[in-house]
Amino acid sequence: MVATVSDALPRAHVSVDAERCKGCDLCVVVCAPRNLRLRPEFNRAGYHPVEFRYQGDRGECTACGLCYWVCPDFAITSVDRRVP
Amino acid sequence: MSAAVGYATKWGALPTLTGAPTHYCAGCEHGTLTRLLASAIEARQARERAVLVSSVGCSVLAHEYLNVDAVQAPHGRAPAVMAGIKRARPDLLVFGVQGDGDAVSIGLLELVNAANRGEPISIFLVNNAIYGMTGGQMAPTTPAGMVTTTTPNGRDVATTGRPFDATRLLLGLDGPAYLRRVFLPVAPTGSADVFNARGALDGEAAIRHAFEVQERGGFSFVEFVSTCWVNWKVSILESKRYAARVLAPLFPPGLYRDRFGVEAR
Repeated sequence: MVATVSDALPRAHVSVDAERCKGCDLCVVVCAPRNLRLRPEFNRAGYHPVEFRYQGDRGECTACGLCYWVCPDFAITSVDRRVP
Repeated sequence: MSAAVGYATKWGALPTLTGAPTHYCAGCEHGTLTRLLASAIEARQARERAVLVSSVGCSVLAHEYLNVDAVQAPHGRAPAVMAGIKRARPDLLVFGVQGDGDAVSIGLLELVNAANRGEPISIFLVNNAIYGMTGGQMAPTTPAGMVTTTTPNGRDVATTGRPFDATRLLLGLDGPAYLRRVFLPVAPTGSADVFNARGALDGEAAIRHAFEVQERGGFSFVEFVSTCWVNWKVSILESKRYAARVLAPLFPPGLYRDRFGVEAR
């Protein structure tokens, strides 16, 4: 099988607004592949914001969107899916 | 916000959210509920005719985050204000967010009578089993034995009564057309560090159904079992575990009444 450009792209992308994040951990614990984690740095409000990684501890992001739905501070601004 | 090249946005910015930073504590279900309300309003294309009646408590600033018309009702009187708006302008989608201290304590009379009359309004009750904004006093919904600032030895049901179940109270009336209770927090699973988000997805569907019932002329009421880790004095994730262990059996989630059959479709 010939690899295409889209095969090389990650399946999904999650955008995080680090300045809105209060580091509550909810998106971290609902993410089954563990694509989100708290950063050691602080944001301006003094919280440890989450960051998104394409490859989590237990696999790749599938754009399931659970982080978007549970986020109480609208810090997960968008969930994008690769166009096939 | 447009997606990067090769990507399509599955979920993104909601025009019904103003974008103002929330005043809620980290991990509070009030924030989750705000996004669900915005999403359900947009699903029904109701942003221009939606009216939010906010109550007193942590829910009071919901109008800062939802880009809809809003009225702030006196403490507990949100159902009466909602009924008035709906009778004057039946074309509007009138909904209210109330806490358990507001709706079940001081405002119980308004809630019960609006439900008994079957007013076509939608009430969303955030039940976190405590007075959150005023500093963690005992609420009527506080479970037996819970330590609060006014029950330092735990709630004694012999003197303060049993935890108040608003949904089952309304079930005893003929007026309501739609009664549902949703467990909104992330819920623990078999694995210690994995939680499920079923409550948020159920909650969005319940709000959409409540709006549909209102548009068909019925009273709709959805109770969201929530948490308040600051006043429960536990960590964020421990409050979710406590809610699943103690509040979910006390306030069992489920569909209590669906007179128009909106869930079946």
